Amino acid sequence: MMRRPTDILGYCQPLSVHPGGTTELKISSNGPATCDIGIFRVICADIDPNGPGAEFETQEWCAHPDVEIFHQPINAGSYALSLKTPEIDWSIPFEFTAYLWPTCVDGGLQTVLSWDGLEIGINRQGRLYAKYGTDEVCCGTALLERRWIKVCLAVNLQTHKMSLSYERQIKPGMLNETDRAEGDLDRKHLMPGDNVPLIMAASGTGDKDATGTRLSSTRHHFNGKIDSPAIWQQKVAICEWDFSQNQSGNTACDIGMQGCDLILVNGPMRAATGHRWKGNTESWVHHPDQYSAIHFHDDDLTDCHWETTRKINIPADARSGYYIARMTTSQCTSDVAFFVSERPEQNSGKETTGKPEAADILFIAPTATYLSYANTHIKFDSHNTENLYEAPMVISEEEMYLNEHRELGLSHYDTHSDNSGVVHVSERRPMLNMKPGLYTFNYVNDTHIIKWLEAKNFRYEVATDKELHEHGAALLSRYRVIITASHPEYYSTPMWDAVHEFQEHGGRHLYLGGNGFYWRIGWPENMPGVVENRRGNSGVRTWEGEPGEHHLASTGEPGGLWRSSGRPPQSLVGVGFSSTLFVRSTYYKRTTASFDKRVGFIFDGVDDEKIGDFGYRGGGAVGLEIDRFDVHLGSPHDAIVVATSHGIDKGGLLSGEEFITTTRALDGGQNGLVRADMVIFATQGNGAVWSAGSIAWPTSMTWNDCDNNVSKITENVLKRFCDPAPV
Amino acid sequence: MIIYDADNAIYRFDGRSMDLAREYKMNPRGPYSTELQQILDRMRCTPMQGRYALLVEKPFESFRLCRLSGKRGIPPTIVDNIVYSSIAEAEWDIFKRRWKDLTGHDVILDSNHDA
Repeated sequence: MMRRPTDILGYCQPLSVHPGGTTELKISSNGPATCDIGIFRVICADIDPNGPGAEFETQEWCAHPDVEIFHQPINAGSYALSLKTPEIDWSIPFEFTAYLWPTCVDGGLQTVLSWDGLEIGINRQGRLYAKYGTDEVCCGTALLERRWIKVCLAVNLQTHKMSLSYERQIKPGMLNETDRAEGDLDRKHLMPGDNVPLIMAASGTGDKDATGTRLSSTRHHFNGKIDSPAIWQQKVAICEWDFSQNQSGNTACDIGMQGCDLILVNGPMRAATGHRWKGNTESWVHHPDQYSAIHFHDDDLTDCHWETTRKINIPADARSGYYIARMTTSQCTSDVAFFVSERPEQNSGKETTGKPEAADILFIAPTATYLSYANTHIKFDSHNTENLYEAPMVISEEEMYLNEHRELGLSHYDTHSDNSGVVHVSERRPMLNMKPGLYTFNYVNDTHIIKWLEAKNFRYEVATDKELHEHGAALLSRYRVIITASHPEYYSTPMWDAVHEFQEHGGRHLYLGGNGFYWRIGWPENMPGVVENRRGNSGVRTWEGEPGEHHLASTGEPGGLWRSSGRPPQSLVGVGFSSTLFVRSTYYKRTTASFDKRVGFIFDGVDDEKIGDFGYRGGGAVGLEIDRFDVHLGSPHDAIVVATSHGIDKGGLLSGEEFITTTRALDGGQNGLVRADMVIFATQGNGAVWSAGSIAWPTSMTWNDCDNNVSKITENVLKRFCDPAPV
Repeated sequence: MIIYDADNAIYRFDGRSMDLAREYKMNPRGPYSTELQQILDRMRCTPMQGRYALLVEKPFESFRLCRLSGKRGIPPTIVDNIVYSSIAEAEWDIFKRRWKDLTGHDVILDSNHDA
């Protein structure tokens, strides 16, 4: 029963923990003073009474009754904070200069620079202002959005004068003075005190925390880019912050005299085109000088920084898998997901824990996908959502809450309040759709695979893709078979390389989904728990990155589609994304090639003509998002397409990257590219890959208590792949 | 930067074409005739401000009609305390409301079909 799940919110840090490790459960209450906490292993998170049956296994090793809980705030919005306060001789006139690219000038008050009583910002009328103590000057014209300006504030405490001006940039290197405001400083001002931090892109209302790396509270966040801020005296840069350096880090370098580096809080977007960007490069790696800006947002969030409510110590012999911490009161049940993940053999401690020998099968939980979709607001913010799903939006209590509480952070499908795309998502926050509930895409669907593995008594283990990213192929080497889930959409280079290396060293791979291996992502080393994604010029996407900003700040690699970087999914798993099919799922039929005796085992015991004409998502195994075979996109020439979809109608919509000129006949009733293919192929060293080619495949596996032809085919392949005999 | 235009859905249709409304009633999940598909595409691209949606009142059991605010953070507005006991019931009602909003005509089917 769902009972006010938003009364209690929480997250586990880290999201992925090893057997024998500890994760910290952080809870915030919106009302209850106490709750009971229990831990469950998730067998099936699908709570639909007409579904396969939700199933949670109680874990006796952790129970906390009557835990006191309290409300914990979230301080969203990115800003830069000086680690060392600049030292200035205030008797000498000084200037502050910066280039700005404001993105939201008709909103509330925004602070560009805040340093004790000194402040530069944009007022509610969109005009530039400067304050020093109680004195204020304000330009007369409203700023334009998404246009570079150069700002200069000059303060002379000898003559008691303050001058604020800005110039509009005509093109890189050419400025045109636009507005100026001057005022008197009528009284003797207090100087910014020692150790009072300098803040950019927000004003602070609280002190630094114990680490000195963030403020307890901020407000008036600036939306837009700041470039080349500097403090000058007598034409010498006292502080000169060069945002083109250390792009992958979370500090911004002061190349002036004092080394007053800034720490960046809540993950503003790095590798942003600066005022010098000329459009002759798309890479900050190749032309760092043109990427001298940072884009701040008032709704950036990388870490809630909540206090730990309870530490969850995972027993060394705990099974790896999907887990939840369940908080309950008489009125409320709220779940927080975490994962107990395997790790490479040399670190696993299996020799000392007495755990049984490793299983043959490793299921890889695609947490990057879960994070990318976490807390999505597309039902409220994206006008195309209803059209895509061909049905009115059905909004859950959690989604209502998320709409009204943007401080919980956004998904990769959202745009910020200034309409720019969200490139950073974080696990260090409550994620209201990554748990058992009404939102079934990805997390819930994947637990159908867990339920099926349990029902069929396969011995398997689970690792998260985060571990795959960190440990590479070493994580996979002790397994004979890996299973990738219904929607492993977001993959970093180390993750991709690990899967490929496994395949080419005799590993067997079942890909049980669709739209996999689609976007290249980064896991920034300096922002634990964050996934970076850049939307390029292609692919199904709800926003498009600004020109020149498609490269990952965390790695320097091109972001966007793997296909655009020369690695179509077909080159890894034989099939790649072709279409969305969110209504009227369909089914497969065997191909003539499937009767080749080498692959006949796939269909042992299956006599039906239609494969998967049933299921929990749209009534079929071919649905949601589907993949097709294409040797021109890298499918192995010797791969065998053993089944292909039939019956797709107008509900199937060809993905944008699948056609390159405006044309008609793009739906599934007219275009043969709108299809799902099931393929199998051999790899080096006796390895093999079998791909289902549809996100809806797993939610048909569990149909009729896992007794159906989709289940049978999957079982045939998995058993065959577990057999070391050559495929 | 691509930002959606609330007025980009421009398809017009004859609100007296009850045969198309009837087609939807008989086959709400499609596939639809070309003309009905275009009508539904138009309906589903109405501006976010004021767009009909459903709030889950009780999971899998009851759904409340609302209209989206179209503004971030502003909750939807409940419409006339209308509660549906199924998604199918809600979709048919929303269809009729949108038909009226877009054409000025009520959906009136003969008694044999409008049960």
